[in-house]
Amino acid sequence: MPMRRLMAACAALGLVLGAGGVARAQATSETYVSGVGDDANPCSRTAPCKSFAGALANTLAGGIITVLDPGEFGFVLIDRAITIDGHARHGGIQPATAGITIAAGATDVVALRGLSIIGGAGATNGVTVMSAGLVEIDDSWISGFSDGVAFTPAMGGQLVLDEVVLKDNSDAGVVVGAANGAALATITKSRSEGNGVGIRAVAGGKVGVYDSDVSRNAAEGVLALVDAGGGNAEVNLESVMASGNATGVRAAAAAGSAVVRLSNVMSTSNATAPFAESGGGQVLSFGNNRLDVVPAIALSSTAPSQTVTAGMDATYPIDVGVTGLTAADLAFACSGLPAGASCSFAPMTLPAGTVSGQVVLTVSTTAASGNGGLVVPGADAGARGAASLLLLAFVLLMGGGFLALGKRRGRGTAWRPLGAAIVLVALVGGAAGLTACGSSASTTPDLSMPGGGDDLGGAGDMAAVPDDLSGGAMPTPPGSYAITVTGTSGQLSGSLALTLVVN
Amino acid sequence: MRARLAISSLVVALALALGGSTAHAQATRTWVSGVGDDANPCSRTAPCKTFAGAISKTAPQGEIDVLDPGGFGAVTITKSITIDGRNAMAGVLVSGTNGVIISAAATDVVTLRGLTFTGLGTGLSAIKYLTGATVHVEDCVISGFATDAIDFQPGAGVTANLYVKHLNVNNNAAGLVVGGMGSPSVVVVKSNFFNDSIGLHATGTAHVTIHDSVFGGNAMYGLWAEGTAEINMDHGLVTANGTGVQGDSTVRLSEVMIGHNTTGLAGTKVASFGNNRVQAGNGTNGTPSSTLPQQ
Repeated sequence: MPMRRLMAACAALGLVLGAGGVARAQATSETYVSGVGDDANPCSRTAPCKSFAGALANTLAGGIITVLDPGEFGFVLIDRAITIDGHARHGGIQPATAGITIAAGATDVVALRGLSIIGGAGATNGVTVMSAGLVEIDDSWISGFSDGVAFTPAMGGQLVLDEVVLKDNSDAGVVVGAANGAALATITKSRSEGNGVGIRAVAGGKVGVYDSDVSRNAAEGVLALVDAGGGNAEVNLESVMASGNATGVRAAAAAGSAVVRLSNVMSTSNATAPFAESGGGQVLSFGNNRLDVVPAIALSSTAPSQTVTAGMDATYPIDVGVTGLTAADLAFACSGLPAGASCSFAPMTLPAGTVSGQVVLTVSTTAASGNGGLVVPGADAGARGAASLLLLAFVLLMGGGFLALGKRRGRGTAWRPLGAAIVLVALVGGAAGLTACGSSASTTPDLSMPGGGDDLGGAGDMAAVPDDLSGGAMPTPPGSYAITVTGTSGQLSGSLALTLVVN
Repeated sequence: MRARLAISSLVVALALALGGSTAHAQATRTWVSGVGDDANPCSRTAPCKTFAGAISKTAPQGEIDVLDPGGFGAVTITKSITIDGRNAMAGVLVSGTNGVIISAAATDVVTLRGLTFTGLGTGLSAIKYLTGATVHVEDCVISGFATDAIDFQPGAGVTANLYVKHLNVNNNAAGLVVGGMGSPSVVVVKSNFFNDSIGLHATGTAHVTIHDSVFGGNAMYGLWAEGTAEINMDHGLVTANGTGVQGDSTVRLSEVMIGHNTTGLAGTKVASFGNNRVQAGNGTNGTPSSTLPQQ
């Protein structure tokens, strides 16, 4: 009888202690969970708890929950700054739906270390961040969810993934974005493989990835995606492998901007393409990436042959297709123009990274004219200025020469120095005119490099210029001309043959 | 005769006492456990409870190993020692004080491995160097310290080395602070500095070499060189900081991407080997002060 009473008393005491333990809150900064623990325990080193949720209730903000030994520690909703560290024994959770949900304060720091978070059928996200200052996930494995890590805190925040494996998550390994503010993510020495998308940045998301692998994902290895709602999404890649995805890297913006910058990226064996752009999306290269496509610039035109009357403009629409990544802007030039003709492109360049685009080539010709031809229809200001200088030089040359050599015709020799001076000025002016022609980039006739039209009699022989000038205005001789258009980006170039017929 | 016996007894007793004491104090390898007791000899079967309790029983150049998870508290190191927590989750959780103070002899080598330092926002420095020849910090995590994660500032005339490998530093006032009146030489590889006010601050005549590391989300500076300090960094990421690299003294960069910072490069002494990525979405990218040829 006394024995029974004692046991009852003990039981009662135990209940009181247990209840006190749960309600209590003798919360500490260091708590422990164990596969053989009990949430009725105080989560101390010697009396560990059984679940992360149980331990969290007994852990002060800023504290640390340590995994003592292997176990299944269950779903947890994190509402404060906390570190969960399973480094020692790699704590695991296999949640039915969501793994870890973080709804902490705007300056709270949450660290998850050494965890295996494995989802099954019907699982939602491995780690969902609704609000936090910083979430740092180290040395962990997250697989089998919709999103491995969904980092889309409405007001933004920071995410660090260091040595994290994100695997076989049906939607994305990690998603980064923020409806308001900026979601900044740093991913280093991690692997995101076998997911729908390896790394996806959406509006408000800026992601820096270093020394990581994004391979074997069903759609993209890396995707910057902005929908019609607008906003900005950016991903910087440094030393990243993207292999065996459908598309290695893609930037897609229906509105706003989506940018992926590539440095030291190897994007190979992707089923569709090593990279792709859609909408306003841009994939930018630092020129040091390795792709398994042979880079090329292809130019084509739906109207490759134009016929004009001298003095008129011929316009050619030119489609530009680029295979591979270009690190420098695409610039255009033409050669093989006849005398008195110049070419210009609109726009003058296409931005680096362009996959497809269009420019319009305008070839301006010069009509034969007896009035000095100071106004050249369709010619740009530079060409007009050059033509004017050349014409003026010619007139001065003739006049000065007349004065300088006049003695033979019985004139006084006093005019000879003036005549010589005029000849000098004329020569200098003529040289300046020619220089202006050569220096006006792609918008001037390429007088100094007349090659390309060698099979055509009128194709811009320098020696013929004075003869042409004697006609008054460097007219474009009638004929059929083969013009070559060249598009160049860095070491890469492509060309297109066009025909110009001048009547 | 009795006197002689008494004396010899005393000698034996003294020897025993000393021997016992020495046996405890001079073990070359000691152990701590989350369920240990500092009254124990810190043996494998009778481990101690704290680093401070174990270090007094560990011989110079010896090693304290962590048997199982636990919080093992602050410790002052006055001799060559290795503390290795890689076998378990070895925590050093302090508030209002320093974590490990290194106050060793001029030739001593101190190694800290596999430790997790937690400062709870009030801890001073996780690792504070005062004296010693060389400090190795490997496989450690340091967070929440109000001063520095690692404070390595040798006194005048002192040459000292710090080797950091696989260190994860976050949420401290400053991450790694090196400088002082002496000549610190620092090597950092495969380490991360996140969300400190300053990731790495080199002052005085410190020479810092960094390889394969990341500086991210540091509010003021990712890396900051002052005085006549030099920082050389090869391969890495400097991202989402206030200013990525502030070169008030020499900083040389090679194969580094500097992106998503408010300001990428700043200061008048940032040298680039022409192989860095700066046009990478910084608010202001900035430009290197000089470009060094690769050869």
